[in-house]
Amino acid sequence: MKTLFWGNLLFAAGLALHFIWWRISLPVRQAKALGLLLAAVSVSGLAALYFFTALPFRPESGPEFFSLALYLAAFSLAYLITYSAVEVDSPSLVMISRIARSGESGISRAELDADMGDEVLVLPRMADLLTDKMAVLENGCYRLAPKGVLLAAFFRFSRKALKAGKGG
Amino acid sequence: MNWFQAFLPVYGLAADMALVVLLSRCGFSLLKSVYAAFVCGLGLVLAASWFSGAAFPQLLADSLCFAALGYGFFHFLNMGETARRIRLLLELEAGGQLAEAEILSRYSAKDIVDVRLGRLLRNGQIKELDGRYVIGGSAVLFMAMALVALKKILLGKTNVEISGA
Repeated sequence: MKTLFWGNLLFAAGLALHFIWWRISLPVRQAKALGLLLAAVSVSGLAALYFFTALPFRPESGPEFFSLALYLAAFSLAYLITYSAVEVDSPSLVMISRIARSGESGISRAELDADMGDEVLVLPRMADLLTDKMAVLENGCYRLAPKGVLLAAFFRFSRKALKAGKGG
Repeated sequence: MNWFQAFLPVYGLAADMALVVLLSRCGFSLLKSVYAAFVCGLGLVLAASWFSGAAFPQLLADSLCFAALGYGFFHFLNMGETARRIRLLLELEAGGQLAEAEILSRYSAKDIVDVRLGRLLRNGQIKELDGRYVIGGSAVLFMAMALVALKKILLGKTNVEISGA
């Protein structure tokens, strides 16, 4: 009961603050801001539960606090990952929207390609890598920044473990 | 609650991850591996929670926590499979220092559209009729509309509009 009650209450509070903040002013680095917001709400909530002993359904032991922290972390990460699909228009979503708008007559490959060139599908993602400090642009060439090196290695390892290709 | 019970969703996630790797390396498709592993992981969490004497609210919390972790793991796998930024990172890792033209020669809009069209066709989400593509089912349309609605609520705008076919 304790994990369910406080986990859902604190996560809902984080979402409410997220909604209010985004309506007032959209952050430049949305995923980072959202992550920090959800983390701050979770940590503040856990601290309040630790210090204010009169709160109902309060966790009382180490395992109970851990269970609540894990619950909050899991839901926060799940939401952050979902949000990345909201923030960026996925090519699949754009394609589905184009095909749906064409109705029963459908759309040809050439018509799809007309709106989906490199300047729409690839170059903005390169710009994102620069914004997120995953890559740097020097003398007209892109190379990985330390953060990008780590992430690339991580995904290369995981793709290899699954015997999967490069993806994309 | 003891520490074993507190860690139950983590054990479920570990089992889920191990099973995905095992099934995938045995030749099962990634999607089928993920679904099968998730069901097994959830079963493990439910069984362990039940037999450790957890009350229903805690059993529900453990299941939901595992579901959220499993969802996160699924999307991590999906990112490796479909995310353009991850592919670009892998190309830069392999290529060292690449100019824009070199990157595009390795990974371009044509590759992106090819892969996605193939996937949408294989999954029956779109159909090809006389060289033209049409929506294959209402489920994909519904999901797309839900995502667009969420964009409008959170961002107040969207570059994508979905209309029912």
